[in-house]
Amino acid sequence: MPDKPSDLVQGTLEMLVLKTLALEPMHGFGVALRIEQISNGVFRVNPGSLFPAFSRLERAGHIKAEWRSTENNRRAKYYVLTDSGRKALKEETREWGRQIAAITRILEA
Amino acid sequence: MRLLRPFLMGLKALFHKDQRNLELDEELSGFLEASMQEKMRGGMSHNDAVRASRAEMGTMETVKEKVHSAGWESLAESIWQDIRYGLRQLLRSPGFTLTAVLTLALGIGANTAIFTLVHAVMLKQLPIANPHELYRVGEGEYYCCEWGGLEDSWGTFDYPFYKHLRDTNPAFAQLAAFSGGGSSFNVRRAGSTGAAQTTNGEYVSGNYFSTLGIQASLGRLLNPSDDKPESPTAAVMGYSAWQNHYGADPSIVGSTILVNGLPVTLVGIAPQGFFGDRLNPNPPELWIPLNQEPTFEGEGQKSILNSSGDAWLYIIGRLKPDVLPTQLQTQLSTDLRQWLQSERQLSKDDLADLPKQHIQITPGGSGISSFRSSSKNGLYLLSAASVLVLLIACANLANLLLARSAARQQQTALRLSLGATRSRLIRAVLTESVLLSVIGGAAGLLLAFAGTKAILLIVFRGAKYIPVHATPSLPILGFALLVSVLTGVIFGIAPAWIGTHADPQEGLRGSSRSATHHSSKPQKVLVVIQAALSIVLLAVAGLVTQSLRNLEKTDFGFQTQGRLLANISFKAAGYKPEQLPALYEQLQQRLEQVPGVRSAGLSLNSPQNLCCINLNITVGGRTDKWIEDTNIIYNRVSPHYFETLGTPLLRGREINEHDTQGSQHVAVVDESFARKFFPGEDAIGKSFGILLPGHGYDYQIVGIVKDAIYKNPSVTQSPALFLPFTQTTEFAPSGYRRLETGTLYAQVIQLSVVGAPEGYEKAFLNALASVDPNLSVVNVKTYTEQVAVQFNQERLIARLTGLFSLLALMLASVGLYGVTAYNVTRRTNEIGTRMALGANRGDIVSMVLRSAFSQVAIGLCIGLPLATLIGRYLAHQLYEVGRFDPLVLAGATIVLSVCTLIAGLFPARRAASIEPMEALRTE
Repeated sequence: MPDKPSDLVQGTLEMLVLKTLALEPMHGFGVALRIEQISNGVFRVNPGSLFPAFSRLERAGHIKAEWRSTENNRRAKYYVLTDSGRKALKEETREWGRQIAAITRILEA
Repeated sequence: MRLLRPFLMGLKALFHKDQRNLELDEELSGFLEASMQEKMRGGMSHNDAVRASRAEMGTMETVKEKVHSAGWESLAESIWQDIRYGLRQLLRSPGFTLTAVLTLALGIGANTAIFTLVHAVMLKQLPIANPHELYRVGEGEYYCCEWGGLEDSWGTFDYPFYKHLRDTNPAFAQLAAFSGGGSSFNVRRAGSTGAAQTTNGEYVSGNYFSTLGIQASLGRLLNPSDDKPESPTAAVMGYSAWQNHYGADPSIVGSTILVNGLPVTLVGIAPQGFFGDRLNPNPPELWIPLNQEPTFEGEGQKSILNSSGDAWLYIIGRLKPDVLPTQLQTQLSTDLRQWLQSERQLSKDDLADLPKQHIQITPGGSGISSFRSSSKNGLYLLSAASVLVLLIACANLANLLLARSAARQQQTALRLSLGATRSRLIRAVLTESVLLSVIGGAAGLLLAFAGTKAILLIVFRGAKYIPVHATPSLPILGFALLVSVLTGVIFGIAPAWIGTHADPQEGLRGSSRSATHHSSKPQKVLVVIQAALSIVLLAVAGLVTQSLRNLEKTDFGFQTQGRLLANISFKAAGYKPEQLPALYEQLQQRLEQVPGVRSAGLSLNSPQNLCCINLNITVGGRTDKWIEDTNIIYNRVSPHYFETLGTPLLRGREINEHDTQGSQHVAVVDESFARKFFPGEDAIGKSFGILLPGHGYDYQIVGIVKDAIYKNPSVTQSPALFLPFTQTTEFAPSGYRRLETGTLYAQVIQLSVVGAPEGYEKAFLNALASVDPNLSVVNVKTYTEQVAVQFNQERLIARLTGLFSLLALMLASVGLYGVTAYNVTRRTNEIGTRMALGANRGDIVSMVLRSAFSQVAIGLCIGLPLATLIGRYLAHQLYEVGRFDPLVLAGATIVLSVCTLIAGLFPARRAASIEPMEALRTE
């Protein structure tokens, strides 16, 4: 049974998208599905936030888009992580770790 | 790179909008499809899956909108939309647009024109390299002390001190000096037969041009090797003189020209636009090395170059980068005090004043300008007045926009209810107002260009060369743009805020009356402000005009009607001092033979023209300190001088032909001289002399003339003494000896004629030429014109503040009219009801007028005290205008009231002509 859906922490969506794409290039729905599955259904990504996030990441040069055909032979836009995206992911993961550790310390104090 | 990529991608998105849209559509429907299939795989029926996926996604358009607004280009796009929308709105109501653009053009144009002046006079640096590095040693204008003496805060120096500073002070990378007073020279090309040109010249140190950092436009400029006593005489000519007098002939460079009859090599032409080291209507056009000064002024005692104590040089230099001006100031002051103690024979009084002597370091990049300091206050006043006009214009436009936004209330309500955010609506209104003001600003620039030209003609009336250009430069354009945008925001912000404050429900209910109710208060407040500001402007204009009238009506103590005058240089024509008395007599006789000439006179200085040598005197047998401290105007005059000028002789006699070197040395003094030094006694027969030991009995007073106003009427006039050209006193070597010979050269010729003086110019010039063709005069003018020129600035300020206050009045009246008319329309129903209930037309007219007058009355209550305050502040800058002038204030109030009456009467009559039945029917 999946956990109850919850809102994403502000500003983390882009990091999750980068992480998801780090495994392999994917199309929009693939990313949304993967995030939902891995988070055990806690995070459900709304297209209304997902696609602007793609657009921002693409602008920043962290990902790039190419049209490819899917497993069932339809055209879909696949997003690929770039080198700068990989760097950004590493940076954000480290920053996230720091923050989580700090928050945990505060909560356990 | 980090900023470039988003920018480029944004541009791409803008230009390939359709393609991007299609791609997004495809991507989104793919997403929907995949999501649906995933749900069906999880066991949902087809229909449920479709519904659930759609619900998750929301409308496709919303998602697309969100993606669009993620980039900067969507903002740019919506601003562009606003601009196009604004333009359409403006085109749709051409009457409104035209009124607004005209109002703005007047307001912005006035400000830009004044700013052009302020920029040229106050802010603009000299056309030289790195002007901000230049510093001047000392401050103040050239007024003291060519004849020696301590200056307290020093501004001019003698040549030995300059050399001392240049050679010993390590703080300056370069230090240049140039003469404070101009000299005029007769210049002609060697071997040419053309007439000599009278040219203003300046003595400068050899490093003058390299210190300023400018390059020759042709040939070379002066360098230190030219500035040595043994160097061949070299000179540099100004660009405009080269163009105007020598047709820009390049062959003149390197050739020999005759300056005051002496051969000089013209080594080069100064760059175009270089007008010397200060802003000056008659700038120098010839630069000669300092060390050539003795060549032109005469060797030995006549030359000022090597004499100690004659402060005739300005010093300007480039500081080394690490030097602090404040530190340097202290160090220079110490240096100066030591120098004075060791190099000068200081009197006991001087020694007591020694600790007061100091040097200030002042920024030198904008030059030294008496024009600047004298016009500063006037320019500030004009700037303030033009800003007031703009504010009133802003209030008018705000009013117009408020009325418009009230009319658009329903539309606004509809847009709000359709989901437009308020900030977006405010942005749209502001875009429209900024658009208006930028168009108005462009029109204002044209107006400013024409206006500045007219202003310059008034300011520099009678000038040879106008060092200020009306053509807008980059700073002017920037200023106009800035003012336009600011104006747009200022007058747009209130209507934008209030106009978008609509309750969608109320707006849509269709009752436009309730919605417009709110906006009449801000309109009234704006009218009150306009009235207050206009009364201030009117009062100021009244005061300034009063001051000008007082100046022009001043009793100058001489006649301006039927008088002609011209400046002349006998020195430049090559005369030696001993030749002068005979020449003057011959010249005077020749001039007086011209038919219609009543009399002719020569003088060193003349009132409202060339003024003045100031010095101190000693009265024989008296030792009072106050006598030594009194400033006296020193002048030399020919026989018939007072008669020619029309200055009444009160007692005794004029200077006449019998006053010769051999006879008793005499002086004529003016009334205040006699009253000051010989109160209660007869000054005739008393003796006095120049302030030097043993000279207390040099001159015997033979005549007393009425006071004539030599300087600007608004400054305190000093007592004056007049000596004949024919008598000189032997002084010990000192500045006074040079004064004695230097002042033998008359500089002004006056004629008193029958009929219009303009017609005598030709006869006058012919008479001069028949005595000596080498004599050239400059500035032949009628005395009326000469005096008028003295008040150029006051006249400009009076005319412009007058013009501005008229503009303000007009704008305020239009504003008042607009608001009153608008309210009458709004209250049609109410008025109809009142009339139906028995009010007669008179009641209605008075009701409308009462409302108009009540706004103006509040404006007066604010404006009058403000005007009084400003009048007090201005009083010291004005001439014989009291600190409180009830007449001016009353006049301003009456003018404003009349305008209110006119502006209120039209709407009032319309209100009175409303037919009750009709009015009620429009409900």
